[in-house]
Amino acid sequence: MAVHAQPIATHPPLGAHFAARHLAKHYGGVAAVSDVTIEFPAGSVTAIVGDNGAGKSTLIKMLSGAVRPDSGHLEIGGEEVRFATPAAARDAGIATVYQDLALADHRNVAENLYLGRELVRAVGPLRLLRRKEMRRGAIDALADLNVKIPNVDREARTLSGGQRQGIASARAVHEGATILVMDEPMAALGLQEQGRVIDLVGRLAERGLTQLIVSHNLDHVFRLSTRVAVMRLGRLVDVIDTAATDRSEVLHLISGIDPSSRSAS
Amino acid sequence: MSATTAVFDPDDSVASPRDRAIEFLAREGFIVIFALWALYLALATDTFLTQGNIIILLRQAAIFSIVGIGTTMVAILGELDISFGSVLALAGCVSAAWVVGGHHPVVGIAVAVTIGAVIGLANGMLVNYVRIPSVVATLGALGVAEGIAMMYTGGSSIFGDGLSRVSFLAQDKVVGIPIAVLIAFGMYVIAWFVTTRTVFGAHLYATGDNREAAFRAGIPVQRIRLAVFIIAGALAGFAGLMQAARLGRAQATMGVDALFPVLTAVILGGVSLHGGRGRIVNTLIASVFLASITNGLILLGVASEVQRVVQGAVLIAAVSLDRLRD
Repeated sequence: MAVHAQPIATHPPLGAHFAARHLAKHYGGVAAVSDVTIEFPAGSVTAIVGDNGAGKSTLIKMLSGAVRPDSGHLEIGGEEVRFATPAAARDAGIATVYQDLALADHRNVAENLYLGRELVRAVGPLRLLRRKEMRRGAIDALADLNVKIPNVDREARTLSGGQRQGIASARAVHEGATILVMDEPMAALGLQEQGRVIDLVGRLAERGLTQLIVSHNLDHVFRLSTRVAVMRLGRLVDVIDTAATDRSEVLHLISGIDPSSRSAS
Repeated sequence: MSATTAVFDPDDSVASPRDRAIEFLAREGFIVIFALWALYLALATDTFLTQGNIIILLRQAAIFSIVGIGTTMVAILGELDISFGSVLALAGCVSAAWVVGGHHPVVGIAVAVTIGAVIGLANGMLVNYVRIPSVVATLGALGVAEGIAMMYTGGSSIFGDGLSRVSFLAQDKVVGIPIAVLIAFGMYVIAWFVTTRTVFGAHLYATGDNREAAFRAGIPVQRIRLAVFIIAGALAGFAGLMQAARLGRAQATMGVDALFPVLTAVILGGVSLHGGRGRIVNTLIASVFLASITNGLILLGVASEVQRVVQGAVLIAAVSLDRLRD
């Protein structure tokens, strides 16, 4: 059981420059991902897009330590890293944030923020919860990221999807993550809720956190990301600044049909 | 960044009084019913609210309420342990035989607790590593433990003068309160403390609530499950010796009566069978409530067959309340 007796760091360390070099993964004879080299500068928000089977989920799994690449490696802050397990990736500062899988529904917000890393006071063999400090720390950690929760004593199940995303992200940051991988962070959220997530991603980027976003929804991609990485047939086709592109260009990159050649023919 | 930086969002803070009333009734409604039942008995009988009757009632509730602590913890984990009846019987028979055979009561208690803990360990390992659903694993353990108890006793009762050395567990009183009641109460205080104030308790609830999230957060979910099944077994084992002390003998079948009141108390007390929810203290209150139902029906002169019907109806009502909570 991991015990971390320090209170929540209200100002987490800056994010790290994250990179993948020549990543490849084959399943049987099929190349799911071939020779992907990509940089994720600190503070960038990169959306990874592509059709089904384009290799983006395999790429994400390699980046978050869930799948080991056949060849190639990752770098954090210029240092080569290899992960045997997702836990090793987490220890290196890479956190994967899920809206649904992260929270215990009937535990309150403070308990969820400290899930698995409760503040304790040892009294003989007993490890007692420092409940007041956790409650205080949760309020600070959420205020720090401007995640609005009516009351940290509320059970997680009473919160909206955006609030849950906020708590899950705040927890990752508080655990010292410098690289966040978010899986469909705006799925099934109303407009106002989407606004909260956009605010949150922006604030995390200001902190210098390196964020990777997986989404099938191009509207979400354009609202959240600063860069778009397009995958096709297991290869990285292009990485473009979100501000310098538009929907149709991204769609063309995803499908592999060049608009200029089509209009010429 | 939005205009306001307040963490507390007033629009969104509290549920309406009506929602809160429904939630309260769903969660603690059995306490209201208990209060009404007690009020009715106090008015309808001369004896219910006497000190003597209350002590009888608490003593009736005490032993099974100790078993209920373990069953509650297992249920908070989202599992179900139904082996406690035969664990109680086997541990009760073997430890009673040791005490009758001349061993010190402390040795008897150690034997009872150890037998229970070993069966609990087996339950936990079956669920953890063989991945058998807990109901099925503990159903198997129920059969195995009962069979061993039958073989051990050869179908007869274990009794003898030596057993009087543990009778203090169930018969004696300190300042007018039965020791069994004091033991049960003390155990509930400890269990309340462990579940609400320690890291173990936090991890217990988190694991029962969302096992996947707990696992991802680094909580050792399998170790916790093992520990909880061991605790449940050990408590049932200890209750076995108490029951032997109360009855003045031990029999392989003496756990059969435990299944119904213990499970009903746990569910009535509001421990969700889905895990992650429920309070230890509620199981104690529900245990006393159940004892008061039997006690009250006897005082009212209701036939014992009807008592069984009422008990069954209470179980169904308790499960219905559990549905209402979702």
